[in-house]
Order: sequence, then C-alpha cells, then structure tokens
Amino acid sequence: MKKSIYKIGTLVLAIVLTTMSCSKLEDFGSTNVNPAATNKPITSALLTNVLSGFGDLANMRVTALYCQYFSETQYPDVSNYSANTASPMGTYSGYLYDLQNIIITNTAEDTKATAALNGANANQIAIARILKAFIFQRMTDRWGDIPYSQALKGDPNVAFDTQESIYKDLLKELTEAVAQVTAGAPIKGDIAYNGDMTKWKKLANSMRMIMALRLSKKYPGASDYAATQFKAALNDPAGSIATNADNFKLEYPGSAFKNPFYNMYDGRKDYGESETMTTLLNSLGSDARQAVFGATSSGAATTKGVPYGRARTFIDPWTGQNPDYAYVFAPAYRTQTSPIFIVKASTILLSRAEAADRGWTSESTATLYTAGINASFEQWGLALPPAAYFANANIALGAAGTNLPQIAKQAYVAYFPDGCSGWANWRRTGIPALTPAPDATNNPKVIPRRFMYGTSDYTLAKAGVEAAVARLAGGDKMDSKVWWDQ
Amino acid sequence: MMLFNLKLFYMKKIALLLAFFAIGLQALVAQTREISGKVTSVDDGGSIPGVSVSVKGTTLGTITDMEGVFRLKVPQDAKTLVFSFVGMTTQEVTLTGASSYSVTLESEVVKVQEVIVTSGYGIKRAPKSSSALNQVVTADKLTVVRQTNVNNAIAGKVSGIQFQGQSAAALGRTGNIRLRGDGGFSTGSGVLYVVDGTVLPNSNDINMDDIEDISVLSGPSAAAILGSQGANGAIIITTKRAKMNARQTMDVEINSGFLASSIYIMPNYQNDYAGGNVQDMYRYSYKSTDPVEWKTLDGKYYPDYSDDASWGPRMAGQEYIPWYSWYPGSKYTGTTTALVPQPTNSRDFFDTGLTYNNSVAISKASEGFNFRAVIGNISVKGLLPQTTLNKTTFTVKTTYDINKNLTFGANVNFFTTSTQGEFDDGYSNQSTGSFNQWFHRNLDMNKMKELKDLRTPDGIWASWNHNNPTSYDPNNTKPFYAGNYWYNFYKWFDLVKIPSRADRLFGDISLNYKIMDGLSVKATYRRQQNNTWAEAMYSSDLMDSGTQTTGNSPEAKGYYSTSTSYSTRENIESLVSYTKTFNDFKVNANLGTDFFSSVYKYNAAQTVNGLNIKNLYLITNSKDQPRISNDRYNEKYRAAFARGDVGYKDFLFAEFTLRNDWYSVLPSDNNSILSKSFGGSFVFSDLLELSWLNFGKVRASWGEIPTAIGVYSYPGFAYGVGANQWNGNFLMSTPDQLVDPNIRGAVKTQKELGLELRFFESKAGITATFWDGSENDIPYAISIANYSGFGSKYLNTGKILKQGVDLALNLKPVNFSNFSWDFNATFAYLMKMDIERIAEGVERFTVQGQWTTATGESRSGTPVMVHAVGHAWGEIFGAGKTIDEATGLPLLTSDGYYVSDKNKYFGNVLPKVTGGVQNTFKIMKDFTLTMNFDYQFGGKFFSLSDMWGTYSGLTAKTSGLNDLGNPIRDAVANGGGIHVFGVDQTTRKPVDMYVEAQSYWHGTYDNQYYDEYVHDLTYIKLRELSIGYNVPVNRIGLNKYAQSVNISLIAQNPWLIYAKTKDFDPSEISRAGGETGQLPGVRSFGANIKINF
Repeated sequence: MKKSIYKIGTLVLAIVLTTMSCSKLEDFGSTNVNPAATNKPITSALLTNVLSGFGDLANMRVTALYCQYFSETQYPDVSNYSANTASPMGTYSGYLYDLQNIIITNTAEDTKATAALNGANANQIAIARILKAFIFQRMTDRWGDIPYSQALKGDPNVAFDTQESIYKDLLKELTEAVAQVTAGAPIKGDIAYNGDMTKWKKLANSMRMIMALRLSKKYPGASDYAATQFKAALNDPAGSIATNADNFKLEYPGSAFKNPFYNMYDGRKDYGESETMTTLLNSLGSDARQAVFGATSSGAATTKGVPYGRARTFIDPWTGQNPDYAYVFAPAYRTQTSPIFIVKASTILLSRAEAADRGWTSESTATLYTAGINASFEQWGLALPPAAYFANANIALGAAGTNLPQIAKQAYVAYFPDGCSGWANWRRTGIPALTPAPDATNNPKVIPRRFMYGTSDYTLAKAGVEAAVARLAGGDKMDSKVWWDQ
Repeated sequence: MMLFNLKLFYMKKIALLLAFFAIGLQALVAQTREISGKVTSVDDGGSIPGVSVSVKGTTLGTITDMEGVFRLKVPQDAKTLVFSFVGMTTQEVTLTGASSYSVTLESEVVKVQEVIVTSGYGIKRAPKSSSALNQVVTADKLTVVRQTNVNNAIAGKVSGIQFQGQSAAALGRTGNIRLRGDGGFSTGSGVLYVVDGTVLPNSNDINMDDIEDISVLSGPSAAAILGSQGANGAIIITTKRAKMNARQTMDVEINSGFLASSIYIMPNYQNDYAGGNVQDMYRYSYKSTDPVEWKTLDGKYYPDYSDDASWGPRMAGQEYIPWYSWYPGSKYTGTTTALVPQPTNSRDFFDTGLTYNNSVAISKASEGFNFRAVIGNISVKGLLPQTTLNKTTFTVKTTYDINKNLTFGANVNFFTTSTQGEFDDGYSNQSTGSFNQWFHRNLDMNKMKELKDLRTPDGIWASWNHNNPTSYDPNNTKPFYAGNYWYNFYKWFDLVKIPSRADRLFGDISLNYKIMDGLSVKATYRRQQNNTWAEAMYSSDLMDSGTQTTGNSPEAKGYYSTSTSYSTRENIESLVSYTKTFNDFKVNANLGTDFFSSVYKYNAAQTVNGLNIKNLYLITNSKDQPRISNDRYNEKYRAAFARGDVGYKDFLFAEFTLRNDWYSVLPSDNNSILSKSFGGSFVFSDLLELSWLNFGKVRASWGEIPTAIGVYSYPGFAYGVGANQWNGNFLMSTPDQLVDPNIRGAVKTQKELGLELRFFESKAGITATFWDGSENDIPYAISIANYSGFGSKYLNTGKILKQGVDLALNLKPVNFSNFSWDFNATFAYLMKMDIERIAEGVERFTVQGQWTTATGESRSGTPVMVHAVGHAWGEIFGAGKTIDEATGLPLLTSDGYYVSDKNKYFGNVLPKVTGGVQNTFKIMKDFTLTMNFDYQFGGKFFSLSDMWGTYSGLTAKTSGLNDLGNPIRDAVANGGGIHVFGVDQTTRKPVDMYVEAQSYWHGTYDNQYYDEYVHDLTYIKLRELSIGYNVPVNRIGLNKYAQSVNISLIAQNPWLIYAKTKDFDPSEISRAGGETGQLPGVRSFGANIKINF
C-alpha cells in the first residue's frame, strides 16, 4: 500500500516538475498575433482616409465665425470671442501622419514595390506632399508658429518652427511635388481627382499662388519674395486651376460620408448665415449667390441674416421671434451628397487678379476679375451675372492698383463658406471691414487674429510652445498677430 | 491496477471483520454494566443525534440516536465517558454509580485570532504566522444590511481602502475599490476579485449570502503569489461550505428581504426663477391662423419655453401659460396657472426603488462528504422609470473523499443577470443631465407624469421644451410642438428600451491526493465563462417629436443596436502542499503551477441615422449603412511558484514567495518575470507573559508583483480597416501608438512593518501597519505630443513612490450578559503617493477630463485629472482665476471678468484619510443593533453638472441677495448683480464692482475659470444601520419548526452626516476625477428575515 502511495506521489511530482522545467514555457507560438489587423499599411486606403476628412479640414466653423460668414443662433460663445484653446496637435497624429506614412511606405526599399501597386511611388509621394502642405498652411495660418521640420518623426519633443520658415518650405515642397510627377501606374484611392496627376499639379501651383499672396503684407513689392514665388507658380507649364472642372473638391457618396453642412443641421441649428454676409451680398446688387448661401429652415428664400456676435440673452429670443432667418446654405446645397469645394477656380482667378492689380504680374486684372466672379456663379450652378452686376459701384473696378477693395470683397464672397481662407484674407487685407462682436466677452473686444495654443501644448510640448510664445509680440493671445499678419 | 484495487478491497473487508470479532470477544469476557443518557445542546436545548460516546481509554463506544439518547454497556471499571461531535466542544463526563446521565454540549467558539486568512490558490494560513497585513472580514460583518454588492459591504470595514461608490439608481454598477491609494498611470486600475480561487472581472457576480469570509490582501507582499493580476491588491472571497451539524441532518436556510429606495442627495437648486432666458415674459396675441383653443390665452404671458435654462421670470405666483396649455386634447388646453416654485420637481421624478432579495441554501455534510447548493434571486425595480434588474444565482459546492487519500471537489456558480433601462449619467442625459444641467425650475413633475401620453393629432409627444408660439405654422406644426432639446422625461424612458443579459458560469473541479501525512498534491481545472448580449431600441417617435434633440442624442432618430460577447478564462493549476514539524520547527511549503488561457469574441452592429421602417428594430433597417464591428483576442500566461513558511516554537516565523510568469503578450524573447516576497514575524507576547497583554506581534515583509502589458499591444502598428467605404475605396488610418521594441514586464514593490496587540482578555486590539512602496518602469502607454505623429507611446516608464499607514482598532468596551458593545474602527492615512518620473521629456499628461473633445482634449480648459512629475498622483488642473501675486486678489478685466489662469491647481483626487467605524450592540441577548460608519477626508472632484447647472441658472448660487440686500439677478443698474473684488489686470488698481448675474456665471465658461465647480470629497456617513432580533425559538417552542429565526430592520446609506459639498454625495462620485451628470444619492430602508431549518 505504501508502495502505491509512493508511486502515485512520484508520478504527480514528476508531472509538476516536468511542466515547470519544460523549456517551452516561454513559447506561446502565434498567440500574440492580432487576428484582426495587418501590419502592412495600404497606401491607397491611407489616401482615401485623409481625403475623406478634407471637407472638415477645409471648412472650419470657428474661422467662419471669426470672419462673420456665420453667426451662432442659440449658444453664442465663439462668435463672442470666448477663449479658444484648441491645439493643432490632433491633426499630426491623424491625417498628417497618414500622409507621412504614404511617403515612408513609398520610399522604404522593402515596401516601395508593394506600394507601387497603388500608383507610381513618385506620384503617391507628390500627392502626399501636396496634401501635407495644404494642411500645414491651414494650421500655421491659425496658430502661427507650429512644429514642422522636426514633426512626424516619432519624437514628441519638437521645436516649433517659425511661420516664415514653414511658409518658405511649403512653397519649396509644392514646387518639388510638381516636379516629381511622372508617368506611371494610376493612383488608387484618390477620391478627389481620380488619379489625374495633371490636376494635382494644377492644384499644387494654385496653392503656391495662394501662399505667395498670403505674404503680401510682409513682401508687398513686385520683385519681393512673394511676387517672385507667385510668378514662378503662374508660369509653371503645368498651369493652375482656371476652370471649375479642375476644382479641388469632394463629391460625397452620402450615407457614411456626408457633406459637412448637411451634418451641421442634422439635429442641431446652432448656426445661421450672418447678417454681415447678407448685408454685403445685398450691397453687391442683391447678389444671386444669396439664394445658395442662405435660406430659411424650410428652404424659402430669405435675406435675413442672423445678427452677429450678440449675447444669448439677445440672440436666443431673436431667433425665436424671427423663425425666417437664414440657415447656412439653401437645403439643395447641403444635401448628403452635395460637393464641398476646397480649392476653386474662382478664388485662384481672383488671386491672380489681385496679383495683377498689385503689379506682381502683367496679367489683365479686369479679365481675371470678371472670370473669377463668373467662375464663382458657375460653380454654384447659377446663371452668370448680367453686365449690370459688374457696373454696381461696389463691384466695378477703378484705376489699376486701386482695386484691392473690390477684388478682396469678391474673394471673400467666393471663398464662402471656407472661413479659414476668408478670415486669413480679412487679416491680410482688412476687407471687408468687419465690426467686432457687439457683445464680445474677450478683452480687448477685438476680432481674434490667431488661435491660442491648447492646454495639451502646455502639458505635452511645454518647452516648444513656450519658445514659440516668446516669439509672439503680445504673447499667446487671440489678438496677437501671426508673422504674415504683422 | 485493477487487480491491486481488488486486493486492497478484500484486505479492508478482512480487517474490518477481524476488528468486529475482537470487539465482540472483549465484550464477552469483561464484566459490564449498562448506562444511558441524553445529549442536548447548551445553545438551544435541542437534543443532538449522532454524538460519539466512548469509554475513555477503550475502543468501546456508540452514537446517540435521533432523540439524542444513547445506551452503552461499559466495563465495571470504566471511569470516564467522552462525548464528541464536530463543531462542538468535546466533553468528558466522570462516571458515578448512576446509570443515567444528562449531558450538554457547547458549540465550539471560534476565537478572534483563529480567523483563517486565504491567499491565492486557496492556500490557508493562520494569521499568526503572516508577515503582511491580512485583513479578514467575516460573514456576520458583511451581511448586516444585506448589501447586494461586496464593495458596499466592505466599505469602512477594511483599513487602507477607498470605496468610490455609485448611485443605487444605476442598477448593476458596483463602484471601484482603491487599495492603498492606487497605482499605475491611468485613473486607477482596480482591485482583483477572487472567489474560491477564480478571478472575476468585477464584483457583480458574487452572491453575498454565500460568503464565508473575505481576506483583503492589501499589498504586494500579501498578494505576490497571485502574480500580475494581483498587482493592485486582491479581495479573496471564500464561500460557505456545508458543515456537519449536530443533528446530522440537512441544513436549510431561507433568507428573504426587501428594500425600498428613494432619492437622498441632490443638488441645491434655486427656487426663485422660472425657465427661459430673460426675466420678462412674452405676451401672447392670438392670430387667426392659431388653433382656436388658444383664444383663451390671448393677452396672457408665457416664458421662453425653447431655451432650456432657468434665467427666466421670477416665480411670484403670477398667472402664466404653462408648457402644456398649447397642446390640444388635454383638460389643461388653453388654461393658465400660477407661476410658483416647484422645489421638489427633480426629486419627484424618481420612483421608489424596490429590491427583493431571496435565497435558499441547503447543505449537508458527513464524514468524507459535503454538499451545499444555493438558489438566489435579486429583483430590483430601479428609481429611474422603466429600469429593472433581475439576477438569479445557482451555486453548488461539494467535496467528496473518494478514498482516504483522494478527495474530489467541485464548485459551480452560475449567475444570470437581466437588466432593462437606460442608466446614463453622462453629460446632458435624460434625467439628471437635464435636472442638474439644462432645465426649467418651474416645471411641475406631477403634471409631467400626468401628461406623459399627451400627443398632438400629428403624433408629436408633448414636450415641456417646445418652441415659442411665434413659430407656430398651421401647415407644419412640428417646429412648434416638438421638443427643442428635450422630451417629456417620462416619455423618453417609455420610448427607450435597453435590455441586456449576462450569463456567467464559473468554478472549478479539483482532485486532491494526500500522498502521506503532511504532503498532498492538488490538480485543479478552473473556468470562468461569460456570455452576454445587449440591445438598445430607441423609438422612431423620438425623431418625430423632437427638433434639435437628435443633436445631443443621435439615437433619437430611431435606433437599434445589438451586441454579443463570449469570453472564457481557463486555468490549469497544480499545487503541492507540505506541512511538517521538526522538533521546534513547523514548516509549511507549497509548490505550484498555473497555466492560463483566455479567449474573447465580440460582435456588434448598430443602425445609423435612423430606421427606414419606423420602430422596426433590425440592423438591416438602418437608414445609412449600418455600423458593424467585431473583436477577438487570445491571451495566455504560464506561472510556476513556490512559497513556504517556517515557525519556531510558534512565536518566530519566516516566509517567502517566489513566482515566475511567462506572458504571451510580452516580446517572445523577453517574456519572463520573476517576482519575490519574504517576511518574518515575532510573537513577543509569548515570551513576555504579561497578564494584560494577550497577544503582541511585530512583523515585517517585502514583496514585489509583476505587471505585464495589454493584449496585442506589442509590437504595435496593427492596421485595421475602416467600417465604411467611399464609393468602393476602403479606408485605413495609421495606429496612433508607438510601442517601444524593448518593452518588458515590470515589478512593483512594497514593504511593510506591522504591529499587532491585544489586551485585557482580547477585549481590546490594535493592528498598525506602515507600508512603503514604489512602482518603477511601469509598462504604460504614455500620452506624448502628437507632433511626433503619434498620440501615445507604450514603454516602460515612470516612478511612483507611495507610503501610508493602515490602522485597525477593536474594542469590547461593555460586555454584560444583557448588553454588550463591539467596536471596530479602521483608519488609513495616505502619507504620500508621488510621481517622481514619467518619461523622458514628459512632465505631465492628462488621464481624464470630464468635458472633452472627440480627440480627448479638455474643452474650454475645464479641469482635468493629470499625472505630473513632482506632484501627487491624480492632480486636478484646469483653467481658474488668476491671482495677483502682490495682493493675493484675483485679476479682473475692465468688465469684471476674472482673468483665466490656464494652469491652475485645484487639488488631488485621492482623499488623504479613509476609514470607518463599526458598532455592534447586543441587547437582552436577542437584539442586535449595528451601526456602520465610513468617512474620508481630503480629495477633490470637478462637477460638470454644477458648471452647466450654474450656467443655466439652476443652482442655488445663481439666486439670492447680494451684499446690498438686492436680488443678484436684478440689473446692476438697479442695485443687483454679483459683487466682484480684485485688481485690474493692466493697472493693478483695486476693482470693486458689480457684474450682472448671468454674465458673471456665463463668464466662468466664456472666459474660463472653473474654481467654483471643484468640490471636496470629504464626508462622514452612516452607511449601514440594522436592528436585528433573534427569535428565541427554543424558549417559545418554535424549535420544532426552525432552528433559528432572525428578523431585522435595515437601512442602507441612511445618513450623510457631513460633507463639504451640499450638492452631491462625495462617496458616490461617478468618475475618478469628477462627474459629468451623475445620478443622485440614494438611501434605502427595508426588512429581512432569515430562517434556518
């Protein structure tokens, strides 16, 4: 009996000891391989992902409130200049890194061949560089100095580059992107231009012109840096966006991807077309574009814009008593599948008109001005304005070199609803003359000229943000001016 | 093998025969006499069958019969009879000449110091030898008011814990226990719950009636044997097993109780001003296109219905048109009423909650066999409308000695839980999210209830928050009649159905083989399986009856979602146990292995943007492409461990644990972690022999515990595919997390020094523990500046140092036969919990915000919980008033707004002091009064409800008088406004002015200073109150029917005695750093009856 106890005991001990001393204890085979993911990025899918969000990137409500395209209807705070502490950070790990990833995957020796199945490596890289430049410009236009040269490299401790150096590098990037476009396999995942590289080149050149013109306060002269850059872009053989067919736009498929202005009223009604906008359009001979830009909630025509920058105690009862106020866009222009125009012929033509009027180029201001206005009407599917329209005192051009007010005003209308561009042009030209919110809560009560850095900047990028703030005259305030605004 | 067994069988039979033969022979030859008697119990006077009666020093004996009677022939020279029975004190009776004896047996009293501590893998210890703090809470302390959740039940009873409870209106939510501060770099990681060796993910599926005791392993030195799972301490629960009773019969216990719950703590509201935005009401003028029923309202006044704030007219009893007058078809159509305060409207909304808690346990044990089965049911009708919870429990626990060496054990628990209803306590939810954030103070909730089924002929459900009559259009009535942001609250809960179910099966089967005395080996298969489904159905009526309502709650377009999950966790364990005494040394040792594997599968689908066919709840009925998702993972670890302790003469002890883990989640070339603990203790009282000191012990220990990483987080860069396609183009985004290729597991360490003393016949006792711990190189995904291209980096990082003191005191100040008082107190002081290092270049990061953007950024600078180097764990920072250093006064703008300091420090989320006091009074033997208090001091939270409730003019502070004696809501020009002092931000000259009340409170949001909304977590509360009565079944002759009957009146959360904030119950803050719209505090009263047969 005792023998058997020993037998069993030894057996059990042996099992225990064998399992313990087993050399395979640390070998788990493929247990830790995630079955629900791949470790290889698909560049076409990354590109589609980035482009799918461009509607929101190109239409920023805060900036559209600052430049008074929109008014807030029930909870006014942004339009009363409440402190805005959004950080540019999120975009870096979002769309920007996806673009960087396209560049990396098309460059690295071990991945470029696979990536080329989605289009020529050089062309994919060119598109990624163009889109990166687009995003970076919109960010530096809002915040000023931001991380650029050291960003997107995995290192969180980055310096903030000056806006000047960013702008100059962006112009270089765009120039190089145009130059590197080659023939090759068609691009996949391109939901904007369907792989048409000639259009991407036109977009890049158009962006170069907008960037150069943005620097007009800093470099006003006809032979200064800005004018030189503008001319170089204009003279690039690939050309620029001159007809609506070449517009950089997104045609939404609906369902999971809807026009952002459809979403704006899908449940809420926080915004209306501002009274500033309706008044301006009215002054432009009852500009027909009002039928596009605003209509009542039920879609009826209206020219009743929402008073801008008023306190809740005023505006909330006002919208209650004035149910016929204008929503942003007539319903037909903000269906689920309505397109979003991101870079459009009208604004490029008007930019060229301004450059000509400034004497930067020798093109015809008048021709470009008329073409720009016509392109804007055409883009919205409207009949071209009659000759009488151009005779309106607020529209008709005067002597060469004096036409900035008319051109900038038309650009302001043509850029609608792209607040980022509208606000930047107002800061650059002061046109149209905007009155600060009557019930502003900031101090001093002036229209913001930049975004403040976010709390997360001070938390996660303290050294960098503090160095950038030290360079800002006036500190990290909404009324401090970015470099090109000085 | 078979042959051998047969042989053994026959050998046994022969031996038995021989034994009987020998006994018979002896009886024949000896001179004998017969004696008889009866054995009864001291406790209840009942007779005891089955008592073993033997003649001391012989093998002669018998057992008592069913009536407790025995008859035995004893040798003439027999001197003593021995009466023994399991669970009772053995008694010897000296034989006289008498032939009949009455014997009484007493239940064995378990002495205080003999409570057994349970550690991992079911290893039991006498606490005397333990070198770390092991607190044990026994069943009698846990079930005072029949809490249905273990967290509530141990609050205040264990030192070193902070219990963050949850409102009882949120059915099934169990709150969170922090042991010794907390750990890691997140918001806190939660303690481990282990039931009879099986790890449970939360404390939900534990049957409180079934708990024998709970051992709380506070630190690594106590929990080291559990490996990484016990990294934040462990709550080890041992359930009851059948015990042999005196009658050798089956025990039956019926336990039945009910509780009625009502709202207790709610914010203090202002009761002076009605809904709307301006103090003047609007005059209604009847138009020919308006409904004819409105004619009676012509010329009457109404406040702004559409604005969901309460900055409206003063409630002075004046006539006004209430919201419901405009709807056709009610008896109130076209009527006016008096505008009077409704101070209890929010409170009136909530129903009385009812909880029924019933269980039946049967158990039976005999030599070599025990069996216990429990069926329990908890049925709850919640305080929110249409909310219920129903939980049914089946438990079977048995061990069976197959032969004298081999024991089989099985332990099966099945919990099935169904819940119904919405328990949202996020921002802008449909109960407190309105009452405390966006609401009209003049709403009469009884009218709301009365009119919940009121709807227009077009089918729009009536809302208190409809639009103003100026927007009435006879051809399109929806813009007027539909809710602007809100519905009738009762209707919402009618139209939303959220059922869910979880079936959890857990337990183990084991074989224990006793190789020889003191050496045994046990093999266990353990499984915990959870299958769940959940659905949500939001009626399409919500879309038809609301205008902007879907902006806050997209589900209100009509919505259906469904999800199912399957998860299993399996362990295969072996454990060798060895006990041996060598002269003065006593050795206990264990050797074990634990192989773990877990599988998780999840599928879910949701409709998007509404339902095509109204109220048809089907995924394919989605207006837009439905959203689908699935998830699955597999995770394993393997562990081998050894532990041992040595005692010398029962006063000097030493112990150690060694454990090595291999993890599937870690890099395969570096996936092993070794962790150790050791300690010693010295019972000095045995040497001193002082009359007043019954027990004195010092102990010291050191331990470490491993931490691994999340499943599939290494090596990272796992690309998923977007759920939706853009015209056939699929989408992919780059993962946002960088993973350090050298990531490895890490260990946390803690050392402890303890003193335990008991005086005066153990009527007083104190346990004191000082602990000191550090966490180093914790694997954690640290937030990094997204400028890197990534939002976080998973790496080994950081250093947290913590220190604290845990104290427990127990006293029996009074102990008379008719009155006794038991007093226990716990106290813990968190001396420090400091972050020494985060990661290179990272000084601070946010772990939780209560008001955040989609990207997790704090919206408008509202306070967030952060971890920062050089600070304590869990600090609250955010935008607040800038204080002028020179004067100590706040800086002000020329408008009287404060100047925002974006980085203001508001305090820490952890209370410094936590503890509780338990009092048990025994009166007249049969009555027991129990009062359990708990408390905490220090700690802060940010209230989003207070912020929005103040913005909306709901909170008490938005009304009242200023120092001029005028209402603060009056215009500054008329002597109203809020008095503001400070210095001008530019001139630094003193500012002393009045600011319009609404501007002042809106200014906190617009200009960002949230000082007023950060509150203190300090509280003292009476958590449990019970008056119990033990029916004296023997005295009144009920013992034929029942062994014992206990009736008690109970109260849960009866009294929040002290709290710095008057608006919230600080013991039930819904999130680590604050709250976003939490449900109110609840108190409950009820009764319970427990009968043992």
